[in-house]
Amino acid sequence: MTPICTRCREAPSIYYRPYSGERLCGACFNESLLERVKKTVGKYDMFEYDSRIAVGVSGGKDSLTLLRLLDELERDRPYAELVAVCVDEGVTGYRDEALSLAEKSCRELGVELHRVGFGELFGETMDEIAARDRELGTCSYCGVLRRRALDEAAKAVDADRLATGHNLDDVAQGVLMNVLRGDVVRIDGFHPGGRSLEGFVRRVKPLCEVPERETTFYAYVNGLEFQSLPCPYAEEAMRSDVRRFLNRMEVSHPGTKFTVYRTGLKIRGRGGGGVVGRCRVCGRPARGDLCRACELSGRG
Amino acid sequence: MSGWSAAMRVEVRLIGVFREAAGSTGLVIEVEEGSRLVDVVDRLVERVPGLGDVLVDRVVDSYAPNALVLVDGVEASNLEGPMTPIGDGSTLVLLPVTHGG
Repeated sequence: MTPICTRCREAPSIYYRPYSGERLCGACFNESLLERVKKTVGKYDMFEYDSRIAVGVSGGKDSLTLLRLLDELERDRPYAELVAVCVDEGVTGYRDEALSLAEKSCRELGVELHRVGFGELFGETMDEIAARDRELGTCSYCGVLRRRALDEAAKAVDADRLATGHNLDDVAQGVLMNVLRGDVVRIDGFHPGGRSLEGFVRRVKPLCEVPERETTFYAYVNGLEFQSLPCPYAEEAMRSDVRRFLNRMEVSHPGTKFTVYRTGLKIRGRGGGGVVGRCRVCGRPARGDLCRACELSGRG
Repeated sequence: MSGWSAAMRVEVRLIGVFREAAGSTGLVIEVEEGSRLVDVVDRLVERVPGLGDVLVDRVVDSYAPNALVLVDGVEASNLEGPMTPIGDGSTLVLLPVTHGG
């Protein structure tokens, strides 16, 4: 027999949270995610009452879940605005399918969508980058250039915030990877609420306290159509190892991902993440005199 | 086997990497009456060996790190996990946790 929801104590539950012991019906599950995102947004002071928020949508389950939850949350804030931004990296047969799903979701919610592409911004698509001689793995290029492209898109729509769909698993993996790499600069700069840096739209991660299992479950039970296959160029070996490790730990020790995330918050510094200068090419804040986006797109 | 058991039919819907590994969006498999989720997953992997590589984590001997498994719309860990009893005509959904994006 299906246990009763521990929240409303009426409906049959459909989801169990091992880390908290809650058993939730569909309505309470949705409500609990919305509440958690609201609390996270408040905790990190992510938005102003009249923020114009660019939501990075990729067509995956995280970004579409984020768009849906923020749309619901911002209904109570009449002066705030949502606009979706998406990046076409140029991965034939993969990103084009995902982007059509993103467009569909935006249409359903009546949210404007602004699209930018690697080709127009950097003169090269991911298909072209993947096919050429290069020093780094494809994910290294894509991660840096996508981040820059999202920033460009957010600026193009006059947004003062850029919300991305990074979930608890993503941020916990990031914390552990930085520890394993000994990257004290990134450990120092860990901030899911983002920072205001001149030259960049402030990036915020409202799903940073929502486990990936829950964004997946939310997207599925709410009938969101999302891109369900991994990128054909995905080859980030260390992240895959860390993801596997954390997923196993979460099964045997529920709550591990939250612990790693909170540890990241405890050990971070207040030093500003190592941004010390400005890029000589694009003028944005950089660790040295050339930012990674200009370096990897050959502008330096 | 000491006695005859009636067969139950279970519909399995596959999503994302599971669909790709099986080359199909779903299939119907037969298991013995009284089977539990673990038996269905075993039968599934027997029938589609490629699925075992992406579904089951051999180190912890479980599908739990890689997938959400829904039994008639309820996430399996909210029931009895791998020991969840399966009924004739039940529907299983195998949903990978890690997707593209």
